[in-house]
Amino acid sequence: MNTQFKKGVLDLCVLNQLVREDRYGYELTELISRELEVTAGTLYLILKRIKDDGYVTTYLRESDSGPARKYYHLTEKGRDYLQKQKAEWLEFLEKAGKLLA
Amino acid sequence: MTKQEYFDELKRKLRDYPEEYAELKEAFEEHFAEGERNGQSEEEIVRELGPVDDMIESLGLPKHSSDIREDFKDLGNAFGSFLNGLGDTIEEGVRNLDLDTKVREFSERITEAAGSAVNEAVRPQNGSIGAPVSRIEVWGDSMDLRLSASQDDGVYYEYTPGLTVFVKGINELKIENDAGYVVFRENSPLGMGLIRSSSLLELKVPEGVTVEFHSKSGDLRAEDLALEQLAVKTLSGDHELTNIRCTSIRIDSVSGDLDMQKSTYKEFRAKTVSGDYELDACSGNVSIETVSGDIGIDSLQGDSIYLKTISGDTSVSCVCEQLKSSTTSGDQKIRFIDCGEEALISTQSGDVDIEVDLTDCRIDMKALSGDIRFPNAEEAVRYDDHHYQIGSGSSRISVSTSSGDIRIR
Repeated sequence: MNTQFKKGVLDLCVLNQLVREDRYGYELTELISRELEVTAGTLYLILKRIKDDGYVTTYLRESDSGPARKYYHLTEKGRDYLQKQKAEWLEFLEKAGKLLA
Repeated sequence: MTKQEYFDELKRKLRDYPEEYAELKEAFEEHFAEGERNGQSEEEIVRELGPVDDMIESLGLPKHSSDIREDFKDLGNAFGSFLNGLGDTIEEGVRNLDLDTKVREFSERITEAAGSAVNEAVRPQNGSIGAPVSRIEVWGDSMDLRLSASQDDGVYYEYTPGLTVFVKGINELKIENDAGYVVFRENSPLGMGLIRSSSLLELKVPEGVTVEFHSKSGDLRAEDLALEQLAVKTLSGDHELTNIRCTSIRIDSVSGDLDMQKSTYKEFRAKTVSGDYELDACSGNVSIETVSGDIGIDSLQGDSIYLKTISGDTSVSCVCEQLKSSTTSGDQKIRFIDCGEEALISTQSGDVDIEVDLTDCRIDMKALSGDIRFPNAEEAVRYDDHHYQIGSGSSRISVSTSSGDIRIR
């Protein structure tokens, strides 16, 4: 899989999974790696980075089927960032699409 | 590799960064717990996490020197076996070279992850609109428009939607007709389209209609037409007009280029930021304003010609009553102009290069700090160091620059 394509958009793909609901780490890695060939390790690094950037916050939620899970929550800053980057990505795809046509 | 071995390796390679190790270990412990609860084995999960080295690299931390030495040893071994397997590798690689499929597969997955679906429906539309038609508006973000003359009073259209892959919905042309006021509007679905070819609308229009084209990147090509008015508004679309007869042409673009040939009009007005404009063998009044675009006018006949650019270059040859051409830093080239009233050529820091018959015209030159050069020094009248006059003809050309050079040939 082309790493150049991946690098640009993985952060956004992860953030986008949190738009409608908070999710925990394992859940996110499953969702993303179902579509893209990405190691779970890379995804955890992305989670760490977007948390450091303030785009997500984390909290622990008790689960009845085991120990507490760390959930990721999209902040306002994260929502803003995602919206803007998504628009730029769409624009980029259109332009690249013209060149690839 | 077991979970413990994985953590040991991670701890060893992150021995100088205990905090990072602790953070990752916490996240991975949870991941292992979930994975095991879902029936995965330790080995499976370790494989999912990926090699420790990749993780260290992604963290962007500098490597420990002894680890780097290990890497070189591994590298040497790998190179050796690579040479051994070279023949096989090449053969396999050539067999697997199917880029189109790979790009498509990748795009499919990307758009699923972002919530869109694959769509490849392409439905062309064509038909006609009976007379009378007085006005046509075309709207399409990336739709190209090709205009030509209709054999009768009706409007004939042929629409080929562009291939927009991986987007929900399809490109569709909607047509509205209100007593001769026709609107063609392309609805493009929202979403990400990775591979996209522009839609094409081919219109055959009767004489004397007014056409308006609104687009972001769509190009316009118009040939052998007689229209009342032509208005074009695009961002980056390029325009090619050949043999058009029109009362008024108006073009508004950001970066689109224009190429116009053998066309006649009463008024031609264009505004662009960086588009380049070329007018060849046209006739009519012209007003072109650009920021950085170049303007090329060849054999233009008109009453008034107004050219303005900031950093673009101009090149003019024309016959007119009045010519006003100004640039800020762009260069100007004037050839064979024949002006009834007066030609005003001005630039701030650009250079002016004039090639005219000095018996046809009289040139007034002012350059504040630039050089003025002309062929026959004796023939020139010198007002002062910065103001000269040359020529004996009836056409008057007035050239002025601040810091640019003036050259007469």
